[in-house]
Amino acid sequence: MEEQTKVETTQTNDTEAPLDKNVRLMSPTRMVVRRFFRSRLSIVGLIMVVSLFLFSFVGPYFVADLPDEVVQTDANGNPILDENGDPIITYVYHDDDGKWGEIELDKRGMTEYAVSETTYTVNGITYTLRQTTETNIEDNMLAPPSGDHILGTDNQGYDIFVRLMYGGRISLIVSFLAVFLITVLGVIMGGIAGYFGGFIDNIIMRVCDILICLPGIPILLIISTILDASDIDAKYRIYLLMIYLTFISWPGTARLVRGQILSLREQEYMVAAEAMGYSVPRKIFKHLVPNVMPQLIVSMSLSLGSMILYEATLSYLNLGVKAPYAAWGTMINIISQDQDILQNHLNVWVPAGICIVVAVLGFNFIGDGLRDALDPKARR
Amino acid sequence: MLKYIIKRLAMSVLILLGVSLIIYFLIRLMPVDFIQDKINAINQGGATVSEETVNAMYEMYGLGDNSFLGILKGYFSWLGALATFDLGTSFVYGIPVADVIFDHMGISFAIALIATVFEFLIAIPLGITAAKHQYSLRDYIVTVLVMVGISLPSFFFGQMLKDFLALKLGWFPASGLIDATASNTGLALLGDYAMHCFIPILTIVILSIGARMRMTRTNMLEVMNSDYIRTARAKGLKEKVVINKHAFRNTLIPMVTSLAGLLPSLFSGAIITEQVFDLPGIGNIALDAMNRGDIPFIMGYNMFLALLSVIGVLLADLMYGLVDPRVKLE
Amino acid sequence: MSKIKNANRLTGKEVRAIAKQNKKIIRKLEAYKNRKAEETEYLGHMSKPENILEIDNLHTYFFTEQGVVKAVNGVSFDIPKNTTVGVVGESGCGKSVTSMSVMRLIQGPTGQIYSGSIRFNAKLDNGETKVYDIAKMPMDDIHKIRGNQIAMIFQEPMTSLNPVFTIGQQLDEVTFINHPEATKEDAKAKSLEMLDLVGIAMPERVYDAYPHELSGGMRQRVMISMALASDPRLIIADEPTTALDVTIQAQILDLLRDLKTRIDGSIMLITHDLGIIAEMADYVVVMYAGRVIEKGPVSEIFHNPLHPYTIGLQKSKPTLNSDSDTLFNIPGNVPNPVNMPNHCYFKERCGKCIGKCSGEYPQMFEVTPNHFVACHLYGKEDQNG
Repeated sequence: MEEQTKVETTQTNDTEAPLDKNVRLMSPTRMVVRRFFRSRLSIVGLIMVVSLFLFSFVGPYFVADLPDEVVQTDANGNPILDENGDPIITYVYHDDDGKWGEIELDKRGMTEYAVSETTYTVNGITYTLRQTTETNIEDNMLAPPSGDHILGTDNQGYDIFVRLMYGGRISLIVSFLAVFLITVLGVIMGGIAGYFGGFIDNIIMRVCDILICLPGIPILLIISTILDASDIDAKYRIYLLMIYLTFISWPGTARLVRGQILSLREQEYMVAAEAMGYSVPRKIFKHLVPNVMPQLIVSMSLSLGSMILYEATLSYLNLGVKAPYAAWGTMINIISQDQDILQNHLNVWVPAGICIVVAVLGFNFIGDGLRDALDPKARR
Repeated sequence: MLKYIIKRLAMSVLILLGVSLIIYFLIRLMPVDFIQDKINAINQGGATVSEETVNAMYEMYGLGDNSFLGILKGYFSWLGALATFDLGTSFVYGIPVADVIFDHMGISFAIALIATVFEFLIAIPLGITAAKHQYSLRDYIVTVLVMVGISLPSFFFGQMLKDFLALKLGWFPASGLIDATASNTGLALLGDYAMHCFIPILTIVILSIGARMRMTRTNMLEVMNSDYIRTARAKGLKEKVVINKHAFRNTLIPMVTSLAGLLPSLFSGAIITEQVFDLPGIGNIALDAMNRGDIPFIMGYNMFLALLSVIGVLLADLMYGLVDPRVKLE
Repeated sequence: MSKIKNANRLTGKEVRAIAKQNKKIIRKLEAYKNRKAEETEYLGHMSKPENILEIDNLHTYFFTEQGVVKAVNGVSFDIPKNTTVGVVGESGCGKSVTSMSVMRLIQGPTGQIYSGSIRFNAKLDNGETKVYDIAKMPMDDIHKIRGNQIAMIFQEPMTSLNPVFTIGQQLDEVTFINHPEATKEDAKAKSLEMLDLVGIAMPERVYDAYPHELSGGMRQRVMISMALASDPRLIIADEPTTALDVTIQAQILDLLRDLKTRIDGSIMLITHDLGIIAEMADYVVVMYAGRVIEKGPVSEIFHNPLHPYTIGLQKSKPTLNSDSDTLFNIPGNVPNPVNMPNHCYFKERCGKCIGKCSGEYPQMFEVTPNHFVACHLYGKEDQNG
């Protein structure tokens, strides 16, 4: 490698005018990176998105499981004893399906077990009758923030902090998936339309027109009703909804790609590529794709934000992710039924809203920064 | 010009046909017994869905016949009804769907119109200032505020405002359109309306300013870098005139076009905002209908929205031709 | 194979240093540009009373993230009254930037007039003359000379007219700027007169037309009539014929030549076409890489070019009666304007280099009266003692 560096420098000296040796420019990549990071907003956006990712995907591994058994204490912190002098122990309800907090309630204190033993002697044999009495007491609902529950619990006893993490997982996965699918579908359709033109182009563009005129949320409401009717697992219905969203959202990307290809086809260098007898794939991948990429990346990062909003709105309308699974939108939905929570338990719904804002804002900041960075016309 | 309009109208009809096809097949995906369940639920909820209404709906959509020909027949019978503006009878309200839509459109339209006016009045000057002082502190602040506005979910922001302004401070009523306890008339009634609509409108305005301002700023920047702005400056025009006359007139082109595109949203109702503030607008009615399985209303509402957006696209195209002298509609 | 570190790339550290420095300078210059100032602050004196414009050691820099581009680096020349001064040079040599500097149309915040003065002999409406230093004028006062004293014709007639206003609206505007009391009818009359003056056959029809309805040549005529409408003392024509085809070019040039006699003013004609200069100009300024390398009366420059670059330019003009099949070209390219060295910029492309050329940048040297050249070949021998 050492040698090659030398070769490179000597070559520059030999072939180029020494005057230009003084000219040192930024590499194009560095230019984009520098432009991106020059804007403080892009950095803020990046930090927001990365921390949300860590929070949602790594966070749950650091959440301590609730203890299996909890000793009930009285007001003074002394254990409550049953009639035998043993402390009363509460068992925490565990579900093998999910990790703690995802779909698991804090049932602590929900069932109180009192054990009493009675001894009988019948015919010289001593029987011990052990009796367990169950007393149902209140769920650990709407608990205020504490060491066990950083943000408290909601109206059913779910830990809000932990549910924020799982909600984030769903929101992020779903929106990335949707944006990925939209881009793939959009690029393929737009590429076909732009490349072949004529009749095929006409058909694809008319389909785009139709899809763009479809009302967004109202149609999602219908689809949601259909999903209700067909007993889809609550876990998967949001994915089905997002697939539909993909289905109606690809025209935007397709139009972008098509427009770019059409304008590129007119460019001289494409004519030159044609004249030089380049193959079709080479023309597309060497010349067209790099030109569409910047716009595509920008539109992808911006639509990530809007997909998160869409998902949240659906969940808020109780159409997307449904209980027992968590989503940020669902967590806010609680307040539309309960005015008391809206007013007096801000810790139940405001954190979820903040998460949504942070996610969307983060993606928007990044998208905006990328747009500025990738725009060759950008001044300054 | 006339030829162009006719061509575009034909295209619009084609698009509407496509949309109706998709909506129809979505409805056909619903299992019939599920629809029956929903009807039963409505009946238990107090309202009565007459046998007649249900049968009329079955006949209109051709439900029950799942053969290919049956579906096709159903689609065309529905289409035939649509052509005569017959959208069927709403289960929940027991009156024609078209009447339900028109009854509740007014309030949605009023709110949307006021919000749109404020949106333009605030966003355009802000966008121009931001563009004029690109990369300045002012531009920065405006950009950040705009981004926050774009990123706020309407339901969250609406609830926050409701909690704070209505419930905590008690300045405004929290929900509904009128104060049921007072029987206001005349000006007092109007004032009551205004009080009830204030927070919803505020919500919509704040959330929509961002996109509009960003659009203004981008257009303005693009125009400001063009050669004819340099010419205008070279003429000796004051910077104010250069911006407010030469640049602004050019940014107006996309603006007016988007205004026509906005038309549908004026009538379609803001579903989320109306839900949050429990306003009897068309969006909230539609949401309610959806939850209760009022199939005729859902179908009618969706077609209504599709029609609006087709008209919006058409209008935007025509407006473009009117505003930009370079465009000849042919 | 790992990535080869390219010696011609800036490192991140350098980039940040550049950005920091740029920010500081730009802030200072922008504040200077936008300040409020008394008129006395930018009044000056002409060094020669017969001059209408004196550009003196003008530096116009672009503070880019790659470094400072010294697009105009110490340019000085004069424009006497009633003359046409041709500014000639390759693309990117700074001739357009010079003209933009005179009009104060340099796009900030990147582009800034860094130092130097542009003295303009303005004749006010009341007949009084005042000498303004345009480079020192705050932007708020720039309308005192822009448009009414100096008018400009741009290179791109296709895009230089506002597409949403009619020709009439755009022409009338000029009259209204200079005579706010004018009525609509006055303005229209004046506009029609101007359109007629530039040889437009149907002024009435063009008056009501939109720019896109006119051809390139017509639009350039409109641009010229717009420049004339304010009765300027100086017209800057920045490659007015480059975008037009040859027959139209000739017509436009005729028109410009005609103009000078009518407006009783001067023309600064920027072009890369030596033919146009030979036809039109009285004086010639040859620019190279942001500097003036030779200037003088047109006959001197054409018959007795001194600087090797000027000689090269002359030679590269195609002629019919030459025996050679190939056109002459000057080897190499215009140097990139970032980080210019301190020796003659033409050194690498010059066939007549002498030892001194590696030394300091050559001074301007007056060979014959009014004929200056910046080249070590002609400098005083005893300069270094």
